[in-house]
Amino acid sequence: MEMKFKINLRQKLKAESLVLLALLYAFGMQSMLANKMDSKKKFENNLQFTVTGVVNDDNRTPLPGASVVVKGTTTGTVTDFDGKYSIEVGTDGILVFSYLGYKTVEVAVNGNTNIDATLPLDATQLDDVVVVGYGTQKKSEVTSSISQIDGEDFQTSTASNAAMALQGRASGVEFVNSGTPGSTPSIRIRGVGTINNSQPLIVLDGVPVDSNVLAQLASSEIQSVEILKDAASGAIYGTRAANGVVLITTNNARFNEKTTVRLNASTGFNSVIKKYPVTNAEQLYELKRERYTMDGLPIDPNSPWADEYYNQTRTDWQDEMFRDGLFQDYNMNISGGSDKSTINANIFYRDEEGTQINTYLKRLGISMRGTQKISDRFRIEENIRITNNHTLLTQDDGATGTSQTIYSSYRYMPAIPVKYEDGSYGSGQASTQLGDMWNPVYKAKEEWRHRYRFNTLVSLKADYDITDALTLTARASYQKSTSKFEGFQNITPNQSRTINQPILRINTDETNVALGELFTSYTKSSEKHNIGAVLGISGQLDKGSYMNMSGEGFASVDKNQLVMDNASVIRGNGNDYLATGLASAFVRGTYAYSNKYYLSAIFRADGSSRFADGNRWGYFPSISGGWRISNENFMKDNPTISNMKLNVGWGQLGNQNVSAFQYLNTYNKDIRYVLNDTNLTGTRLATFANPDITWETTSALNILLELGLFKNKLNLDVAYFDRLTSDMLIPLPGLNTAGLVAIPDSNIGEMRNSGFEIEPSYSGQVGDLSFELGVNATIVKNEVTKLYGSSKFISGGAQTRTYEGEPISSFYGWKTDGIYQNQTEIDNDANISLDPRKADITPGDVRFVDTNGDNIVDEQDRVHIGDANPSLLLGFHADLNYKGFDFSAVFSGAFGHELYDAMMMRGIDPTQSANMDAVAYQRWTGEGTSNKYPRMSTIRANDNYRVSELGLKSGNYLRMKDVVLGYTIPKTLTEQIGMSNLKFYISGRNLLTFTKFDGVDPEESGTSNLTRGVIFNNYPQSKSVVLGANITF
Amino acid sequence: MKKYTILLLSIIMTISCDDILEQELVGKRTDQDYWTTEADMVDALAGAYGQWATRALGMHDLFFDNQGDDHWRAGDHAEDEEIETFNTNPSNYKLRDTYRYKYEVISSANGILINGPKVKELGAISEASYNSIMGQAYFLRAYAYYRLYLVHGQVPIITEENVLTNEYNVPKCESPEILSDFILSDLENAVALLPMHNVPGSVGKGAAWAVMTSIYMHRAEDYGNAEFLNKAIAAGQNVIDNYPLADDYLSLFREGNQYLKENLFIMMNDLDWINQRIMSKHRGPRPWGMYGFQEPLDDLVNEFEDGDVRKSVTIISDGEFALQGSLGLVEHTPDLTNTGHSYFKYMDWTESGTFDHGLNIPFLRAADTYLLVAEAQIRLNGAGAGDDLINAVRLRTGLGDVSGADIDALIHETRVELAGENFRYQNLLRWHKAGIYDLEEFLSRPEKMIPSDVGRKVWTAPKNFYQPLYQTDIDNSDGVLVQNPEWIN
Repeated sequence: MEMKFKINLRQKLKAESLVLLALLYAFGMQSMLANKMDSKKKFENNLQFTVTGVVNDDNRTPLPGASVVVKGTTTGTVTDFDGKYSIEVGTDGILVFSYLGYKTVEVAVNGNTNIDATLPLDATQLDDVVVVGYGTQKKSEVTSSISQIDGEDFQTSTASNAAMALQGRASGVEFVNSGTPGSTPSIRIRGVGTINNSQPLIVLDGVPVDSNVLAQLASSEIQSVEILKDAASGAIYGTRAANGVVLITTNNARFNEKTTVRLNASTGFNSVIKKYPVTNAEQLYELKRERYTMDGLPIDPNSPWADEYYNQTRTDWQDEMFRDGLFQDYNMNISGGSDKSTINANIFYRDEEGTQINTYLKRLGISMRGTQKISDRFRIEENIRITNNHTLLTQDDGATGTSQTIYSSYRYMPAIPVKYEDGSYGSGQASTQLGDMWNPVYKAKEEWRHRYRFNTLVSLKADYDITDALTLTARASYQKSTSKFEGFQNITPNQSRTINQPILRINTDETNVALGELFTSYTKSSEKHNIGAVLGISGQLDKGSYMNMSGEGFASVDKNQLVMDNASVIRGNGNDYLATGLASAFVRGTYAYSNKYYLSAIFRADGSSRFADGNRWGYFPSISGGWRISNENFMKDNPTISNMKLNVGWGQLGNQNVSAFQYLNTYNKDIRYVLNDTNLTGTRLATFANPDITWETTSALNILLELGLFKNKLNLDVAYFDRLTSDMLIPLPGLNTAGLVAIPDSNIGEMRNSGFEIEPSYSGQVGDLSFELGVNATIVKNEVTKLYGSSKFISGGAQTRTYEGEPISSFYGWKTDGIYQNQTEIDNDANISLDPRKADITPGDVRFVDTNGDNIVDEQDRVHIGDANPSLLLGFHADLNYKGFDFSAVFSGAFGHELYDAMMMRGIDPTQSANMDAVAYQRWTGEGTSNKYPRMSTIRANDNYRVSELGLKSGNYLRMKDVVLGYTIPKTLTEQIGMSNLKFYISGRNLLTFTKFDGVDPEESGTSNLTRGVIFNNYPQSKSVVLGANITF
Repeated sequence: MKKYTILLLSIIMTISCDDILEQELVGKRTDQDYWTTEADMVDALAGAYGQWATRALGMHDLFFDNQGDDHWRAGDHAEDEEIETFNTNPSNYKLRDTYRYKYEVISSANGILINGPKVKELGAISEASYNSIMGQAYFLRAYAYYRLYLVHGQVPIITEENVLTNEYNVPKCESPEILSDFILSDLENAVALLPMHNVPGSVGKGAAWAVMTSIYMHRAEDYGNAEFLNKAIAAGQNVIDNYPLADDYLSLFREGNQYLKENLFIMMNDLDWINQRIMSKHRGPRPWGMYGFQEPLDDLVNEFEDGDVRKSVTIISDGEFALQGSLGLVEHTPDLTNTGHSYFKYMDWTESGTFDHGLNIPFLRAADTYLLVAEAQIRLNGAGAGDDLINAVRLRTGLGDVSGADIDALIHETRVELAGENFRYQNLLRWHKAGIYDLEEFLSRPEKMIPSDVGRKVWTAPKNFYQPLYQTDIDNSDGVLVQNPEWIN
């Protein structure tokens, strides 16, 4: 059978991978032969006989994977899923039972054929098992930087999904959140690794999934999250691992586990973190009038600013649009197993009202995992997930324009009432000066936008133990995600832009992902040597399509009658997504000697259909080693240092997350026209070709020192990392002389992220109080080391630029030096002494700095004015237990960066037809009145609101992300009412924020890596308070 | 157990690497299979025409005409104020799209000019169709450059050669004259290839002659420049000889106008298929379903002679009524606008009373060429030399003939005939250069603007002959593209 495997592989894989496979195979065969020769040798010894038994922990729970070694030999085995083992040993031999996290036990055989061992927990051991991709590894043997977060840690978080609950719990991991119900946070691991998509690969129970799946997971489902932060660990996922890998393991049942039912129910409120300060109608009226008087102009008699009606506040739009949103969250877990099969099921439901009126998220999900033991050597595992996320929003998802309700919630005119006395909605239609906005309450109440996101994942895994040491695993999985958007806008005659016909929009979207994998795992341990190996192949195929329709003209706008059939005009478009395939082969070998020296090596070959033949295959190696210095004789009984391990690793990773088929030019057929009375859909050249395009490569060095002091009560991990992304895909400068044709990216850039992670933690006990305190600090320096080889840059919109030699997304604009207080200052100002616009500049205007010394303020004077990349990320967590009480708090913060408040820059500009920021009222009105906020004016000659230091603010913040106080009813009481556990808790999220940033939210950030730190009109995050109960039967 | 393993293995192995890596391009086409049929060429041509309806000419180009004296910006866009007060900041985004979309038309036209011959070599297209499509490609490229020539003076010239060498970062041409020469050579090619009259929605020779006439008139910078005035007359005469004016002025702007020979180049639109709002919806009162930009000034309204039917077609004023389908007659009331007037040329309603933003919009009308030739005649031969052509235009206006019309009469006629059609400011610039007006004084007159702009509209030469180039284009060019004279950010 092994031969067949080999031949099949040869036939199927490309030539590039043949050599590799031969090597892999030789490695595997050698291991197996060694194993067989071992048995043969033993067989020749007549004194040997077979001992069997079960290894249990203190609670009589079997320990699978425990090591059983004959003392003084290389003979050893590991226990199976039921903790059973079988080993050949001499009659006077001694068996050594060990398992990470447990004390090692030695038992003399003395002729017994059945020996059961009980291993007590070893409190001083920090060891555990870590999921590393295609298997697990003992934590003590890991030689790379992997953050592990126990699912227990955030079971009671009120975050609306599991991904958000991770924030602040691991070093090197940064989250950028949106407050939109049902949204997924952006995750950046060890800095922004590329100007392109920098979302890490998400792997759920071994299956790579789209990152929106993060928003579909309930916190209670999660057993553990491992984050592979360096190349030494990530290389096993090759061309998708450059931005890190997040491995999520959901809960599962064990064989012979008593059936338990766990219930968690919680309810609470969401509300906005802060109200954004804007002017009231009286202030706005004054400011708008002042801009004429400051210019010496008569007040425009046709404008609202000549009408006293607009000098009276009628509405606080934020009060109207935001509310305390109620939410409820229920989870049920049923888990149990016999000696042949296990079943674990989660049912979860969340009903969350958004902080904006008429918005909600409803999530219903079912996940089931089961394992069947077909024989002692053959197991099958199934994993099925079905989730449905249903959101109702008042604006299209992710939309940020000024016509969106988030913007109008802040900016709609305060003099306009929600409704007039006749019951019709307040409107700004009377004058264009009232803004091209709709009454946000009208939009929220009279329109709707539903999105239904339905995800299914089916995964089957089969394990066959070829020998005790060698297991063959096959996995097949299929994911289908469908998304349906339904939006309705009624006839709207009285808002700023009118709608003549009711419009129904229905957009559907589906993606399908099929995955097939086959790999073998080999583990062999003896007293001194631990060998592990994985080798396998994998293939993945992604396909999908979309269809958008809109219908206009409905006789009835009754919700039941709003179907496309009832529309008088239907328009639509649709297409297939470009299908992509990924074919891979991979190998990992680990070796540990005497619990002192560790070595790990990974090699992965990935072929991606996104690139042209010849550029498809990439090879990603990694190697890492560890040295447990504390196990050396000279350190062995050190009273202070209980654990000290140094790890060094290097490897290469890829990022293929770029548009497919950029190696071809493409024509799109999407321009409608009529020639000769015939309806035509015209074509246009949509993209130029780059035949050489290929993946991005990240080379990463990782040095990690693990230190345990005072019997591991105080632990300190310090890591240094240096990630260099090369062949980074750079869009050539967008030249409008190419029209709308997209210029493909080229593999010419380089970027470097280097820094430190420092993670001290302390756990201790004082009487009945046990506690654990942990800090994680990450210092990252980001630098784009190569772009085009000259002074060129990538523009991220008006506010940011990415330059060679600078961090990604620097703010770029003019320096400012206060406000001109009087005409003499203007007359004497060297900045503008030769500026042709000097005559138009008046006191109260912003003094921009002539940085190049030509006495003219022009575009040549723009410089870097700030950096959006935090230089320090800080997390802090505290867990305390006292008798039945437990308390935990998690803080997260970012420091050393700036934000550009584009929202405020618009809000202090009186030529914008919208309500203004409250700070606009602190404007310059005469000499000495303000040196920051310019005068009110209708004239834009000096362009006071251009991108400058005026909009720059410190982004430093520290926020309490989660805080939980719980009380567990004593077991003696709960057992009397048939419960094994009953806990009540009160929990809060985002309750405290320490920041000087005066905008909506310092955690908000730009929409892409290239516009990072630009604050504009995103859905704000909320804070919440929750009351909940955990019940276990 | 082996059978299970083999079963699993065979499941896995059915997905072979080759199958996985050989994915087809779906839903799009590429050069490997495009440019093989006549339909490919027709689709590409439709793609080039279709951009005019979006933003190539769209509302952004029209906003540069706010600098004239026919209307003021209205609306609520701060960047329009910069433009109207002659202070366009080079970062003003109105400069971006109209520039970019014109280059998109140029890109599409270049694609046809490069690849059309391949289709012909395959024998997949008739000679007549081929010539018509190639001629239209030359015209569309010329017209895009013509608008860029008027707005910016000098821009980079992207030809087939740039496309083939993938070189788009080129300096702007050395002078407006070089750009206009390039346009004229494209127009000569278009005239040679195009039929006299083409199918509805397509241009014939007349459109190319009309643009030629306009360019010669722009080149005739001195009042009596015989060389260019004569060239304008020669080119324009072809239009006059072959393209009669419509009998009914209103019909030029209403449904069915694509069949009128006077409409030399028209942007097709309709409610059901093309359904573009950008051109047709931006002018007119918001409560009537439009966006409220560009309100005519009294100065324009007063220009109309009493009894001129063009007044009621062009402008609706307070106290006048619009027939809005089933809503019947609706009065234009003072609360709708600041000036008391709205452009009516592109306003129509469906029978059900909703605003019809689906009208076809004429870009070039033969009447424009008639008046340009008349102007050239007057400037060469004195008052009265353009009477016949002026009277041809006045035939449908309800007004009597003129006689001995001088340049002022011609300017009056041009202003009212073409009001709201994006010609006024460009004509004023021509007339300034020809010494007929001093725009510095003319455009500062209080009646030429809304009251709150008085003192703020300061026109200066040569700065305001052209708009600046968009700052991002200059930045991205890494020093290759240089800003127009006297514009700084």
